[in-house]
Amino acid sequence: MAPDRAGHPPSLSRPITIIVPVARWWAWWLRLTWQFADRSRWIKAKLLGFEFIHVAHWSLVDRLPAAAPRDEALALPTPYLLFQTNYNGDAANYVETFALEAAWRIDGIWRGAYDFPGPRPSSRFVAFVLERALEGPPQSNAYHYYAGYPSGTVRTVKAALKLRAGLPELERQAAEAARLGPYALADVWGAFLADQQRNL
Amino acid sequence: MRARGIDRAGLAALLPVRKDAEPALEALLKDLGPPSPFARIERTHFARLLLMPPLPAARDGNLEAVPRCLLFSAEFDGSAGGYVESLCQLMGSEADAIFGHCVGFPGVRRPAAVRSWLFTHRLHAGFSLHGHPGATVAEVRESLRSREELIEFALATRDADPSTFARVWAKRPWR
Repeated sequence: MAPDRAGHPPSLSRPITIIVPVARWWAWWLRLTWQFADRSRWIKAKLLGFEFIHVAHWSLVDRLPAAAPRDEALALPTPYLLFQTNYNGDAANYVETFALEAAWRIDGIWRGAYDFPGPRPSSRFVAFVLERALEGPPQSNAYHYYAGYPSGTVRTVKAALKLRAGLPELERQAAEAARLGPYALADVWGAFLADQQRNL
Repeated sequence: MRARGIDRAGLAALLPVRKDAEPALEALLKDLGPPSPFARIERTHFARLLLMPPLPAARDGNLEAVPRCLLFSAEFDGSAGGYVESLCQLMGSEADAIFGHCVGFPGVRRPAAVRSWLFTHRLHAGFSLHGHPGATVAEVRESLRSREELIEFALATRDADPSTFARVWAKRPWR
């Protein structure tokens, strides 16, 4: 398996981190809208439906240390939007899918970032993100990454969890069927496979 | 915050690096694992340590006056405070070596101070997505293992007659 277009090594879980300066008024907009958006299943459902995002966070930072009282911190000249995600698959496909399938959501997050090209055409947005991806070329900053279940994609993790949730019922039905004979047991197994085939 | 499954906020912190320590930290990160020291903290879903470049200025160039930062971020089961304690206990030597290059790191022998230090540098996640939020690391690993066993079992028994299947069923691996 070759490195993806962001230059990440061949593995199933990968990181992308980007940090971009945003206009001060945009930081206020994000702080305001995130209060609603972060609790909105409607806004998140589309993004989670892509099934390649393990976890993603967007944060604002306007001083260092980020959570210190303002009078004890170094104020940054403009706020910064930090995006970090753990995902599987190809980085360019990830970003492109965002641009094509969730354009207004992308606009609602990055519109106030300096040099943000907008979600369309998607090739410009892909370039905007990948050129700023801190782990991969062209930046290639030193980093260490750990995934607790490196063989699991979002899709296989979700499928495995659903499959596992069905096992107690399979065992219960199988115990009943085993008393009736091998044909009944085979029928229970066949029904389980038919019910769970999308998770196998 | 959740008692089980991925802590929705995770823990992310931007930690200013001492100016003279950047080359050493860069070398350290490049040589860190495998295996990753985070593997010792079994409730870690994901973790990253990234030496950030100078922050880009709004228009042109970089903010050279602002120190470079180490981004530490982790997704885990349980509380952030508990995770920091585990970090100090289970990967103490690596944590000392890595975070020791950052301004103000108190050392893992003082876990309460490490917690306070990390929380002062913590980034609040304003908007987050979680692909499988309710599952712990142990549940995910166990589920992936069971799935592989079920698939192998299904393939191995697909042509078996019911009597043979019943004998093989008694030895199913996921019980």
